[in-house]
Amino acid sequence: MIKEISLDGVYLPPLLGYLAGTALVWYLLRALLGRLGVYRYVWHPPLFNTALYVILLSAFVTATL
Amino acid sequence: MLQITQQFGWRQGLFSVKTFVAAMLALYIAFRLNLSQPSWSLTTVYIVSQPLAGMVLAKSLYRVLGTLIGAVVSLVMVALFSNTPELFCLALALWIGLGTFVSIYLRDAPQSYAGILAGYSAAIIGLPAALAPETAFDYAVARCLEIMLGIACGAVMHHVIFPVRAGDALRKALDATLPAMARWAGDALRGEGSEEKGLIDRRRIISDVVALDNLRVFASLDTPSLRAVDQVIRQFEGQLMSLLALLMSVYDRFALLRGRRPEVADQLRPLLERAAGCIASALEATTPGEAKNESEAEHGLKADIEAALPSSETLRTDPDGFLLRSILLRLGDVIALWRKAVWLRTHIYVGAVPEEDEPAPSLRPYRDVTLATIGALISVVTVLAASAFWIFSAWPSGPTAVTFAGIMCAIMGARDDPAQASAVFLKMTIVGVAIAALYMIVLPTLSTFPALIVALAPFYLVCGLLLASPAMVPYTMPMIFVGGGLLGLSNAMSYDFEAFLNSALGYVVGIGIGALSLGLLRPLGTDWAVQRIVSGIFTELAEVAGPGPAVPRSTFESRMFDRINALFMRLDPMLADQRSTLQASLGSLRIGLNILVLRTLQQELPAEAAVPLQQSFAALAEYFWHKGRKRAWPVAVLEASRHRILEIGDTPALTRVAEALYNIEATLRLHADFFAPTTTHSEARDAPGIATNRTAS
Repeated sequence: MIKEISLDGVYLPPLLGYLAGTALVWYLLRALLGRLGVYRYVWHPPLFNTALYVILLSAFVTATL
Repeated sequence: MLQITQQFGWRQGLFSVKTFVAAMLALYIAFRLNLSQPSWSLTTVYIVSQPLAGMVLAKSLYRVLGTLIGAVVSLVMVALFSNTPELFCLALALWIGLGTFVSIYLRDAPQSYAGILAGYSAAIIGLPAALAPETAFDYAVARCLEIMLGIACGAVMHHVIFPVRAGDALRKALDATLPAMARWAGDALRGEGSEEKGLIDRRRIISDVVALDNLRVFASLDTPSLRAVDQVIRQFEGQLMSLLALLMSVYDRFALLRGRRPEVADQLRPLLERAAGCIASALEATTPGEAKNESEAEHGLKADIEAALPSSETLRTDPDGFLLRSILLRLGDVIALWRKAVWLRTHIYVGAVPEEDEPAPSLRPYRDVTLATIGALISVVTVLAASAFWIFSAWPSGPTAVTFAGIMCAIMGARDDPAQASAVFLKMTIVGVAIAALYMIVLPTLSTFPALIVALAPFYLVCGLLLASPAMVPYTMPMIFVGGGLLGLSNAMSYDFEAFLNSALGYVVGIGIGALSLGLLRPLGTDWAVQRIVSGIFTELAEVAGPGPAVPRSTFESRMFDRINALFMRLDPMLADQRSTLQASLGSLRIGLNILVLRTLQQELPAEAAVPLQQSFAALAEYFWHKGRKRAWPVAVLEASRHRILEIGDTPALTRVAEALYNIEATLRLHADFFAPTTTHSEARDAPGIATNRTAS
């Protein structure tokens, strides 16, 4: 896990960076899955999207431990 | 997007400038008074500003009311639970839930805004106050003062400087309604135009009448001369609703007659033509006296209609006789009602109240308790989830997130598709954060108030311009809300970028939680809303047919029209399956009105008619209560009762009853796929006794 983010001397909680980075990846992935028509097989898209986001976030956090 | 930019003219520009001046005035006064959060005044001006002065007043009134209630409740909650954050959050969640319930329950009434505000003001005031109880009272008073200051500036500006009054809009709308209706009535009576066009016209007229009522509410706030005739306008609206129902009934039955008995329909045509002519000529009246005078043509027409009625002998042998009879009778009613509507309209012209005053029917909107309860529960769950997140993570921006999660649920709860609306809100929030970040770089270089005005002008003038177009409001509000809130303009500005980013994160996470929970818990969107309305229509019919006290006609009509209007707003007459739902909803109105006719005639009937009539009521009520699921299709019962009633005799009352029974039966058959969702449709349509066998049975 990255310890701290420094923006021009301003220190921010690292989770902020993770949330933003994950959001970006998730956004692209969602567009891609939509293109591929995956959502036609999904029962409850918002739930699927939330789970996808949480999985991505956990993956990034554990990957940078 | 191009269409939207083309809408901007000098009116929108004037609106934007007026709003900006009011906002800067509010900001200046707040700075002079040294209030703690002047940006609230600024944001409030933008929130209450709408194109019509009456709308501004209505929203202002309920914003003040809601804020005061919310402030008092938040102080009570702080006093009780400031030491136990868990309990405080629970109380807050329940309170926001209650506010959401009220706002969804009242739907589009201006009062619903008070529910939204009371709910989320408690969060805005209560959470910071709970964290620092010693300043709670000052904080609550400051918030109320700032809101009132913003409202005072906004309301005065939109009311005094080049006001755009709802009253003028109402007068214009009233002027346009009758001619539009006359044109449509002419088309309907002549049987012109395609089915789609007919439905589109109907949609327009229904929504016009419903819009009239909204305008009436605002007009009585900003135009005293119309307040005096408020009751007449209400009566006029009621007449229009009844006229609509009658005209649709004539039109639909005539279409049916053309299909079944073209030769009879052709004989009827000249009469309908003459009726259309009478309607057009009655429009020329300008004073109540003129409107009272019947023309020769109309007199003759009435006599001819009377003469054309089929005899009771025909009725007994030919089921289509009822069709002809009901067309003729409704036609007579249309002409009488039209005269009365014109007469009322002339009263509004001269600003007089009619002598023979009957109490005006109030337009009664329908209510959906289930939807309101669901919305309230979602609010409670969301606020609790956000609170848990805050309490367990001990995150400093937690309170902001909780507040905004609550605000989202309160604002979005009443939407058809809150998930989508809140996703838009979230995106525009991020834009608002970016704009506020830019200002964080610019503002520290300024030192005077005029310089601040110049700096704020680009952003706020553009926002004002966008607010003038209703389609852009959902995109603009989040920017104003978030941009203004994050800037937090005050006398003691501190430009701490870290704190700024932290609170921006609080905004985004809070709004994100709101959007997420609405997406997870209310994903159903428009289809579900349509289902709710349709099941409401069934319930409405069950109540009319049920054993309870009789529902007044005007109440039933206005509730049904409200539902039908809500359906028309959500469905597209150009698509075949949606068109049939719309047609069927109008059919339901006719079924209900016929049941009401039966109930009023009940007393005049001989004793032996009571049993068959009761059976019909019971069958209908039973069927509609259970939304047609696994219940007997009531057509057979209706038909049996009709034959038994005709056998009793042929007094006018009995004939009317038989006719009403026939009408209900015919409408049920016509829209079998709507009314019989679970039976096989062939079974419903081919039930014995379908009116195709024209031989005397």
